[in-house]
Amino acid sequence: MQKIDFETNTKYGVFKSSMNVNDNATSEEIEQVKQNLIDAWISMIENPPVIEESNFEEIEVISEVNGIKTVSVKTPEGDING
Amino acid sequence: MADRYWVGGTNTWNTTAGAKWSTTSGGAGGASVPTLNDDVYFDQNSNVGTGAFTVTLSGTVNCRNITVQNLDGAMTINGSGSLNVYGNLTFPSTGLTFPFSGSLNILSENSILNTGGVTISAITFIGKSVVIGDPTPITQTVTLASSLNIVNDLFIRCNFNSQGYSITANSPLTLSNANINIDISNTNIIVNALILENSLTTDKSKYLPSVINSFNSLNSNLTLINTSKFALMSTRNGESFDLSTINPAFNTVTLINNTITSNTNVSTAGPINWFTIVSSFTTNNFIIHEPASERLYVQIQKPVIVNNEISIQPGSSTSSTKRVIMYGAFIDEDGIQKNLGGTSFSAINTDFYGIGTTASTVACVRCGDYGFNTGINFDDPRTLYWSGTNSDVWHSPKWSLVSGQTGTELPPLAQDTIILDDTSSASELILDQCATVKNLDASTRTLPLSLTDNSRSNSSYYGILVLEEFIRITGNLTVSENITFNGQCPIKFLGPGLHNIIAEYLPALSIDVHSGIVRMQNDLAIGTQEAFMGVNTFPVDVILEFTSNRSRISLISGEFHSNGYYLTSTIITPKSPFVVRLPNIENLYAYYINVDRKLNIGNSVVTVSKINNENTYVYSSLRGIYFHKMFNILSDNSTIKVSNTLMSSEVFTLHTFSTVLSEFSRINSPLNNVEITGINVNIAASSINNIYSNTLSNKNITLRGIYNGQGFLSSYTEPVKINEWGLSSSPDSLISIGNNVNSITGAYIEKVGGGIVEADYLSISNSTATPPNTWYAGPNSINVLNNIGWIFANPDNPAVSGDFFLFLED
Repeated sequence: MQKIDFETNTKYGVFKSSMNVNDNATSEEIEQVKQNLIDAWISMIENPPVIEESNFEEIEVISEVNGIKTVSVKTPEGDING
Repeated sequence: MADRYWVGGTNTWNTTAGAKWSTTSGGAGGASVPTLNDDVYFDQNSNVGTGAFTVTLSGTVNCRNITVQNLDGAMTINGSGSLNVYGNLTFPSTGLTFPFSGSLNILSENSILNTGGVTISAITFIGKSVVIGDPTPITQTVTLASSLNIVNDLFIRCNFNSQGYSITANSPLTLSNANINIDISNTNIIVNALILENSLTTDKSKYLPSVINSFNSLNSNLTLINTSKFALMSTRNGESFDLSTINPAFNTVTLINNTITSNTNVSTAGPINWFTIVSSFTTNNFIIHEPASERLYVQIQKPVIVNNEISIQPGSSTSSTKRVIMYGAFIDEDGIQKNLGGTSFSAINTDFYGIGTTASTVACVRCGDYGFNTGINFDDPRTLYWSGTNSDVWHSPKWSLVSGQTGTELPPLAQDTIILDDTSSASELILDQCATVKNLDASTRTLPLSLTDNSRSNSSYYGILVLEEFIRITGNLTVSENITFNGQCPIKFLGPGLHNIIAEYLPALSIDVHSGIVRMQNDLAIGTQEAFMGVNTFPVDVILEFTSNRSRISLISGEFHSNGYYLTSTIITPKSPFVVRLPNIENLYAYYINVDRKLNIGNSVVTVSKINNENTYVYSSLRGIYFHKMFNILSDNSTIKVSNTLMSSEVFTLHTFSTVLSEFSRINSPLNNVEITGINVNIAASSINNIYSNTLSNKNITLRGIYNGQGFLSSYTEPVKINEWGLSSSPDSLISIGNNVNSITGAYIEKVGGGIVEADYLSISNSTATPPNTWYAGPNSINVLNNIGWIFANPDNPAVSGDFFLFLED
């Protein structure tokens, strides 16, 4: 397996990577691998996974002022300074 | 140390050896499961023929080097759990997919990470975790040999050299652990956020910033993409810190908002997104791309130095409805304008608040001026009349420069005045997004007009519903009695200068004017609609309080003058830094006043009223006025009334401190007049000039000093200092002093200013009164228990006392 460095300009800036291809890979195959990696990279940027929002029940919030932390607990009914 | 070749085809990599592993490529299975000392190979002999195969990881599996090479069939690495790599990682660029959703841990002392550009789905930890506070230097170094593409969180916890290979993550890149050297020079980094921390513990108090020995980002391009809670250089829970020691400097910093749905911390249900620049940095170019959201808020909390180009291009045309709102002098922060510098500054469809530039070339089109800006060219202010129907108010070019004419003007900007007069036939305007104007003038409107925010876009922050404001006003709000606000969002006053309010009712009010002043010009009622309300649309610090069945005024910065008029509300939540001045007003009715900074109540009378049938908090007994510690109360000649405690089972508390994590501290803010007009009142204060009651009703008053210990049931050994005592009582109205409910040794009181205290008809428990021979409870008071220093007699008859005196005569 050979390692070939490449970099290309995209609308998201330079994509610099290496590709690891078989030693007997042709130049066309190498170019195709390179393009596939670029396409996958752009797709990853433009189509990030959607992360489901967890159901909110309660959250502890710490705010800090002048080095002193204050804890507030947020609940659907209101907040509690503790 | 041995080699382990996978010969199991589709199978599970776990702690069971089976026939999956061989000591040679294509050899007989049955070798032991690889350990952290063994090199693992997947190759052309790992599958059956040239068929596709899937290796499913289960539990924790270990290896030293892992090499995938010479595949002749499609390979998938799947499963969950942990893959611990104690050596190098080498993947081919073709034939392998890696949807493994567990954690990929690179743990060797020196690793070369060569993914071949394959996309990694696993949460990826580069480097070992360390114990918090462990001073042991990090010696582990990981070096990239290809791009690193992670569709999950990426943590770098050791010395790291990107070798210029691109780093991309659909989640934050977190640099953690102490004493590490980071070299990401000449690297294109596209991440959701750049975060520093040295702990992954769930104990937020242990989220400490990393101490990074060196940070080399020379000639790197950093793109922060999509939404993020704290996009650049914060700790994981958002605390900013000084990065001057590592001086992050990039070639270009770019903000891109491609999506409104993806983020580990923030998901949005509406077209609002934000970036937060928490740390200073230097960059040659600072670019904001067109966002996917209608409104992209960019908050710059710390100085950003741009050497060359600043470009903000949220919309390609002047009619674009997408806007970027860039805040420099931001709430909760220093309120200082952020001068970005630069040599060229271009923007379109962008609003600025507290932003400056020294660029010699400035080209801004349809930009809104919220105030505190310098060096930016804005469109000339306009006076606009609405000529459309009831919708599409902020998008449609149906504004006119002349009343009653068909409009062709684009929607107003922050420096424009909008006038809603009788020439508009609409009886309702649907304000379907938050816009900012200089002045809203509906003073001449004689026809009913409802301003409705019922389609207000909202977002969710950690699951808390966050609403944008109803409308932001950088100048004045003047509406006649024929205008109604139909909605739940606050009207927000923003920017410097004087802001006048002429309105009878607002659903909620938010004030962030820094050095400016908001002044009431008539009586004003704040709504009481039942709603979840997030006053602040930004995740900085927190005023994401929400509540139901009550409304609020949010005093964020600047001054608020009630100007002698009545202000009726139920919640006031000021935030930093601010001064509230309520000079000489008759009353500020408040259910809950939460003061975080400074409250100047001047000569006002502040009445705290218990409202019956309120929702019950867990700590319902603590509701009342909370003057938080560390802040000044300028009480002047004010009076605080504690009244209308209708529910006898509940206790009102007047506190001049707040609880903090595990400590309490003192406050030196005296209260001036405290008038007790209700029953069941707790007073915990350092000093009261004059405490008195006017009504004849049964009262139960606990007087106690400030906390001097920990926990709510600790002793109150610091007395409340009282200058004048005026609590009136009678045979039919016995005032209880002290605490006879539990065993708290409380009710420490001290007479200051000389003189004595004369009282009667008191029921006193657990109270220590000083100095001696000062506190005369009167002959009709009841010495319940545990009282010290009280004399249960009149001053002219001191022989009758709660204490026992023995007089001996010759």
